[in-house]
Amino acid sequence: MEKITPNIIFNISNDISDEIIKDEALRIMKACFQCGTCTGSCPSGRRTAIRTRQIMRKAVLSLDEVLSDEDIWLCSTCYTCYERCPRNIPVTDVIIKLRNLATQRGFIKPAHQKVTQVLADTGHGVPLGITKNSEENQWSKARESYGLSKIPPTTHSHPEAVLEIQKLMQLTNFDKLVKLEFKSINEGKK
Amino acid sequence: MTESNPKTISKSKSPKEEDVRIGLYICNCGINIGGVLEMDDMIEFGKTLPNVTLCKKYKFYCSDNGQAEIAKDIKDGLINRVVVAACSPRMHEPTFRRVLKSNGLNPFYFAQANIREHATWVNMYDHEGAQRIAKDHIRMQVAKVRKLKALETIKVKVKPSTLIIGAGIAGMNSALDLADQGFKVYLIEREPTIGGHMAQLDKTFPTMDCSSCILTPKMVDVSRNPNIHIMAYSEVEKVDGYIGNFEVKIKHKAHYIDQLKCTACGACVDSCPVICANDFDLNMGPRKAIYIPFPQAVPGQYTIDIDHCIKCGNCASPSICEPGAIIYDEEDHYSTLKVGTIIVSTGFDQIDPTNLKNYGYGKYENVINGLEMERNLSSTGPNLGKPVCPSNGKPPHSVAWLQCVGSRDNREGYHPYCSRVCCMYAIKQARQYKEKHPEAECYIFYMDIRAFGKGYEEFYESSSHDFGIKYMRGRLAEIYENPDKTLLLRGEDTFLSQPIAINVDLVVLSTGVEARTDATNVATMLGIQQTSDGFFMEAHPKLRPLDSLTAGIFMAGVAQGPKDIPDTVSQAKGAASGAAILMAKGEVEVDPYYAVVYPNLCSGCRSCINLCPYSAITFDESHKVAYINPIMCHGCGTCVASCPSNAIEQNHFSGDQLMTIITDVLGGLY
Amino acid sequence: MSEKSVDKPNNFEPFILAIFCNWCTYTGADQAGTSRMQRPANLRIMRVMCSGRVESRFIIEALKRGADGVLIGACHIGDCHYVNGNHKTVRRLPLIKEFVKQFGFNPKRVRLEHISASEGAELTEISKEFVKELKSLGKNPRSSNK
Repeated sequence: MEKITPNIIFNISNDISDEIIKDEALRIMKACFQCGTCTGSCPSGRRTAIRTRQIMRKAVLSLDEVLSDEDIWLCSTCYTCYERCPRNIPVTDVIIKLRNLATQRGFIKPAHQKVTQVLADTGHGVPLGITKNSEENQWSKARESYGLSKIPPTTHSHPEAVLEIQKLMQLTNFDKLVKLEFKSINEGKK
Repeated sequence: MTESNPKTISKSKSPKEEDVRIGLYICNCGINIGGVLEMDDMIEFGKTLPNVTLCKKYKFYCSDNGQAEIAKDIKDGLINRVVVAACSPRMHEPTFRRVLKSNGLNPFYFAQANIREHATWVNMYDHEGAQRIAKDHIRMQVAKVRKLKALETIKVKVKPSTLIIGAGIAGMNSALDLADQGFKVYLIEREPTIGGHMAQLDKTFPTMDCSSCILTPKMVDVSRNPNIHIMAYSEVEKVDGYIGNFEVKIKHKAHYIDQLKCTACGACVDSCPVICANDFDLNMGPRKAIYIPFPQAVPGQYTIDIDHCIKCGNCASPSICEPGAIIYDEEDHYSTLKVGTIIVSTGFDQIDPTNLKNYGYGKYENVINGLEMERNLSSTGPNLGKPVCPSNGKPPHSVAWLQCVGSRDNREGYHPYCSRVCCMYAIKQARQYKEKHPEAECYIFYMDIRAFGKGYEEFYESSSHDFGIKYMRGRLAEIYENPDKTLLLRGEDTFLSQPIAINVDLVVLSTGVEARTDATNVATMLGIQQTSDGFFMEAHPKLRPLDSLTAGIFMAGVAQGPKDIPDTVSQAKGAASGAAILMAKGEVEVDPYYAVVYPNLCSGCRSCINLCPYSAITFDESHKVAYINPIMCHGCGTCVASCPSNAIEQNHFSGDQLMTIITDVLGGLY
Repeated sequence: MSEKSVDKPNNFEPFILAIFCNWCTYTGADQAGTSRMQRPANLRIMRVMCSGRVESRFIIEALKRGADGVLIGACHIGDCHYVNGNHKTVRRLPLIKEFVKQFGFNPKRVRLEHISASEGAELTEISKEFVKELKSLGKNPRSSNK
């Protein structure tokens, strides 16, 4: 028989909500009256487990699970709830703030960690798929047909700029926050 | 009146200041003031002020004991001026003036320093700041009271007649109460019939009595009462004057039918070829261009809707209208009235949900609003009491009500307040529909059900228990129309934390109430205020909820704020009582803050004459000086500020008094 | 002509003489109090029946004696309890500002605001903003000598 664990809220605090309302524009979050317009409007919620209203409730009561659960990462930031909220709560902004808090407290999903690693390595969250044989790159042909350079003038054509990005990440402690490894910098040191 | 004949008075010097003995009383107001200020320091400060003979503190100076303390000091001859540092003078100035008066001191030897609303309540955490402001406010009023002069209040006669603007259930009740006490009542209504919104309702919650069965007898009573003069299809154009003596200009819109000749036989209606939308039925049904709004309308005479009339002449032919009442070229005409008091009962508009695009009102045929459902349910309505879907004319198998549409919504264009009637009318409509179609499904989507009145909670309970109405907790997110014109509702059942998507045949948006779109015009015309939600503002939200800030003008019904019929009727009776008190007394005392011309200083430049909005200033040709009629002067002081010779003074707000305030309070800065 | 540049310590508490009309702004200030809207402790409120009563000498005298700012509170245009007293104040204001300039004060020290009886929140915002502005203008030169 499966063990029954008690599902009782033992701890209500202002820990998370105080952190959120440091941004004055989000203070109105405390006035949420749980009408459910946000959940009902949520296109993600029809497919996934995200219950926006519950996220708001957990945030107001500062339940730790709001940061550790994956719900806040299921929002597609379409801003429909933001637009429809009768209390004028910037719901999407609250969710983004919660994501920041979650990351700060070490709740980050491996996939997101990987994206930031790609950003650190290439300077792009979604880098161009550059193969050795440039003939195979459909996108570069398209660029050329419009009279543009083969490779766009980003870090793809200026790999040295990646170092600057990594420097910024170090200065802002972003690298420690999401546990990045800087290959190129380390290589450069060698 | 001490200065009733200003021509004989020269600019008198202020009383010798050594004779002034001021009693300064600092009120703790419980903890409202005492909890923020250092009271001992305040007392020490007060004693240092010039002419302050005694300075005391007490818990509540407005209480009997507090008043008695002031009274004793006056009677003992210790003081001859009083300053109370407490709440706003708008609250208790009259209270303390009475204390002075009943103890033989002129009531105008009083000043009140506002250290609660303007100091401790706005600096609850900055105690030092509150202390600083409170001291300065006391300094200002002590300075003022030193310079104050004895004044006599003006007594104004109150005409025993009332103007009631708006003849809904509120206006009618006030009218009947006043008329039965023997006062003349002029009841103005802009529609062709009295009755207001209540006439459009089918039944009333929670007793389910038929609205017109209780309303129409009242309408008949109003029309038969010899003291009530109904002015239907009329609007107030202009209001002049002041308490007791308002002068009102009224526009009587043209009926295009001689109201005295019309016998209300109705023969003209059959002859009229024009069919247009019936605004009484919210444009859901037809009517002719010549019409009465509904069969029991009062007055019962007909009106021509001139915007739709094609002037074919059918109705005017002698074989149709035997009395010859039709006048196609009738014009609006005007009349003036003199009344002593005014009651404003202009009612409300329904919130327009068209801009809430996610609900599709105005786009989807089967999304209707609350008042439309009311006409849909009404046996006098376009469907004769058999509610149908507008798309196919068939009774719906399932109906959903959406609560809080346009109210409890902070977004631009909607209202943060609760409209107070929508929960109950939705429950009532759902129950009415269930009574007619027990097999139908009725859903009410709500955030909170506010069943606050007598018998309301029981009504709510019975609606689910006895009638099986399903309450769904959650504000709907969006509505889509299916190809068959049924509607798909999306939202969340917040109890289950489950998104829901259900199909219904008809959706009723429980739209709330809002202030009339032209409420601002009415407020401006009458000189009364509006609160931020647009409803008329009461003089005090708790203690004077029916008085406006302008003396002699009262308000009743939804014009003052959302409320249901029982509350509206109670208010109407209260407003009638407020007006009756003034008229029964026959006269009121008005603050003598009128302006006075000192003829020996007046150079006769006449620049004040054009500035006076009340034409109270005339030019005395024989002496070549201006003269201000103290009864006509309202005491704004505009002429005083503009006089190049300083020849005009306003009682109680003289240049000397105001300048002393400024110099004394700033003297402390050096 | 304007104020000589004096050192502008931002840490002083500006003295604001507020002249409010009885029907709108004074009532609005009462409403701000009743709703416990917190504002900086700088307004010394003097009540007149109508903003039309405000004379230029009140303002000059206040500034001469060291007030850092003068705030005149009137009804909104069209809402005046005395039909149009506030129109006259509005018309008088440019003249008053001219006087203020001629006396050597920065005319920004004088403000006319239309605040209705229900706008306690607006009053709170305006006073916060005015205090901020006065702090940036610095002390009234007449009082800074001391």
